[in-house]
Amino acid sequence: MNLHELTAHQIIKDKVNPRELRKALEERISAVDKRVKAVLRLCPDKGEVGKGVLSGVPIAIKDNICIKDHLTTCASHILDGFKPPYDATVITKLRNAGANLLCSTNMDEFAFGSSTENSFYGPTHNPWDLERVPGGSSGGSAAAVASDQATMALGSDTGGSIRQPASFCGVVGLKPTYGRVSRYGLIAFGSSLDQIGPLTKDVEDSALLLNVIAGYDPNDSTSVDTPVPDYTKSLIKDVKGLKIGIPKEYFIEGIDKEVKDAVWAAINLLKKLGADYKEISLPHTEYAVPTYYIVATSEASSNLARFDGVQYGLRSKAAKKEISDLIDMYFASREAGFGKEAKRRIMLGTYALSSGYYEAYYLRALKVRTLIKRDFDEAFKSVDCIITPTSPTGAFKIGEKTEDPLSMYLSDIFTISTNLAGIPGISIPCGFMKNNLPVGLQILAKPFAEEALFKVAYTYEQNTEWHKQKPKL
Amino acid sequence: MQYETVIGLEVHVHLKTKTKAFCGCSTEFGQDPNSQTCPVCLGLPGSLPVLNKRALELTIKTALALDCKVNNYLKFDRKNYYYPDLPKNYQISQYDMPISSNGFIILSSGKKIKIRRAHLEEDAGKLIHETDSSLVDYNRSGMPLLEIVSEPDINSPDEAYEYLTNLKLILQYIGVSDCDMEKGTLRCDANISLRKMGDKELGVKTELKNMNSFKAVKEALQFEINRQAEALNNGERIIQDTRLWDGQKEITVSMRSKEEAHDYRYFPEPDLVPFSIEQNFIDQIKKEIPELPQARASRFIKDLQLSEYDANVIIQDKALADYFEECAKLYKNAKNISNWLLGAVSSEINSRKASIQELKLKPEDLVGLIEEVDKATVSNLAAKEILTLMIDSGKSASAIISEKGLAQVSDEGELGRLADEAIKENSKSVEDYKAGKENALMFLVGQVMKKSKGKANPKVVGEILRGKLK
Repeated sequence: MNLHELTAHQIIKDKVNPRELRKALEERISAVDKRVKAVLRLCPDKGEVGKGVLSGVPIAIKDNICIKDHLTTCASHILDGFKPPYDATVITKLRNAGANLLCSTNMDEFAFGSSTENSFYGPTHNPWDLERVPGGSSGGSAAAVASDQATMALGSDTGGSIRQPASFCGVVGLKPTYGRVSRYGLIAFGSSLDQIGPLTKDVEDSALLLNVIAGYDPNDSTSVDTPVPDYTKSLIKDVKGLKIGIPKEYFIEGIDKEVKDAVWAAINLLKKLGADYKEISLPHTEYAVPTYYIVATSEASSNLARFDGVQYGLRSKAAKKEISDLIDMYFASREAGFGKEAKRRIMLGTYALSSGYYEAYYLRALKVRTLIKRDFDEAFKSVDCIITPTSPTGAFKIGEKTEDPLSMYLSDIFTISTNLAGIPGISIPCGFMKNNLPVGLQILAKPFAEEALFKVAYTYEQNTEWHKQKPKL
Repeated sequence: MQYETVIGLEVHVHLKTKTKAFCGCSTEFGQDPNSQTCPVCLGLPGSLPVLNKRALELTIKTALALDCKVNNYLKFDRKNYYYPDLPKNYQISQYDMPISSNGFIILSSGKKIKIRRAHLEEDAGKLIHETDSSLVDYNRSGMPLLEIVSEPDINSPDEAYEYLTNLKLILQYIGVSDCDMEKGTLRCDANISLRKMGDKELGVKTELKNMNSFKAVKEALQFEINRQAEALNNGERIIQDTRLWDGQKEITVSMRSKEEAHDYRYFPEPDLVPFSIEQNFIDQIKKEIPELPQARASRFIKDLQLSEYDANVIIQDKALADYFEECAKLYKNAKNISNWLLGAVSSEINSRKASIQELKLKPEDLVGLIEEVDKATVSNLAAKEILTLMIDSGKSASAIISEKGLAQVSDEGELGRLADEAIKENSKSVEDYKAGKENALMFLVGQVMKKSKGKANPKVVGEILRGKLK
């Protein structure tokens, strides 16, 4: 096996030479990224090998996670030249674990999107079909792992941004429980929804990486102070007696038949392995998308207010006569710095928070959010986990949905509720469509029950071969 | 036309914490620009706020001292507006659920000025304008601010002034803020409107900003009363706006109208999880609150027999009042101490531009001096000079008296000799006295005092002179 194809646990087990490994991955990036375009920039390799559980493991970082003195742009023009003076907590943890920071990966600008087409640097291509999107917004991280340009990667998930690209690219993507992983140093999109999580080649690597990044952080008031178990201990092939819930609201019209069949085949395999399933109801599912787009855009409109050209990032160089005062500078910088989708979401969020509309939109959305959370609380009284497709379709064509934001928003229809409820979710490969595109299976569990996710995902994975498939590049 | 003035005040005070409200940066005043900053108070992408527990404690302490109800649920909101001194372009503040509400301050007239709410928020940075550019100093960014909003219960600039004075005094007593308007640790905005006497409905208000002293608040309010009254008398309508006080021209100038007012798009701050404050925590803070100024004045009047006037003057300076209490423990006649403190000691404080703590004058030494006067070792006049020497040197009164030989002379032999001299040298006064002019005797006493270099006991001298001139 080529070094770039190895998983982290293989690297650790075989004590692969970190220097050769780094070199192999850089060569792989040189060889394929001209076509995939997942990597925005390499992290400088200082030649040091850190000690720790991820010693020497090359890891790709989504471009919205701050790396000290390293350009971090959220794939946005407005963060031109921004080099954070500090490391995000997850980066500190990776360094302490000895990981090798390999590169920054492409994304939808500020994580606004489901296809990685909304990047200032241009779209990333799906390694399984270069005409298609890798999903998003962590499309660069998912495509890098799928095309063996990185051993593992970090992404962020606000409404499905780890799981949906994992599904489209045939890798494992985990969104941890809200509060499980520190957000300190993650450039915020929707603060009450964002979580950093792993994108990996298999479930074992996902557990390994979560072990490193999880935990309470005094710098993040929303991180939760509960003990972090050793997640690799949940890598057990056993689902006997496991109760799976199948939400009827998720098997709707519009879902691709091949996706549906793959997911049902997976459920039946788990049943064969000793699990039991029943239909459940998450009655407020249909409100998830509108609720999400109010909460997320409202928070985003405020989070993105700081990009004004005053302290860092892009300040418009428009002619002096065009910029006569501060307000002109704000307008010119933000006009030039933000892409179309960012502007759309800032406007949506600003509108939803405006005086006179707040009660009708934001406040109501918060109430519906509570109802959605209660749906899950209720469901988890009778089931251990919930299984759904990760996305209603496989990867779509580049350009197919860019002119229709609503249909783009709907590709996250199965992942969004998870963020609104704050629960953990994982997407694992569960088959291929006739056109050789991967299909993802989503497993959801109670807050802080990542162990349950790993157990089910690992059992399924070890009884299938999907995760071993590689795209031909 | 007779109008009633309606005023509400909005006061911002910096809380005296060592570090900022949501990060670990120092709050020290007067440091190099941008030297006390970090990713959090610079609002850098990815940074997150973490509440400073001390800021919360001081907020609750203030709320309790102002007789507010303390809400036991803490929630922050974002107040969104663009300004270059606000690095995130939103301020972490409290909107619909302030930490405290429904307090009051009592004026000397007995009138209660209700406090609507007091809430915790972060301060912005500071802009420094140069000829063709502006610079930003973020040292102040993220400092903990307490916003205290009164009800429109204030009906005159004098009441506003007294409210502010009392508020400041309470905040200083409980040690939550320096309340120094020059350093910007206390700022005040005022809302003011007029209505016809007897009207129930409030008139159109204007908001006044940029007053840099309590006196300026008073002047700005008075100007605004006159301006609005004149406009109303001319049949004009008041336009709701925000006005800046120009201290040089002594006028208010419109800055923006209501139509231009911001929509702050408040919403719950998602980076700070709301939490419940345990009653225990509040009770603990309650125990830290010292006796407040008004209670102290009452006690001085009742227990120490001070006049109302003296008591109210002494409590205006907490350190002076503390000093007074120290002295009163050592000496029975509190009224006498208060006379000294408000007289000679205050003169020394003023002339030396120092506070009572900075003077080298221990309470026991001041009491020692007063006792020397009581024992007639020294005259009142000499005692004042001794006080100056004591402060200069830090020595006790008795040490200075013996060192400089300043003890009062009551020895009748010595004083008799000096009296004889004075009688001899001032025959005119002697005649006047004998003719019934009592004042002439005082002149002769003065002459003897002079000869004794101030050491003679004037009472004894008077008696001797009377005897000799019988």
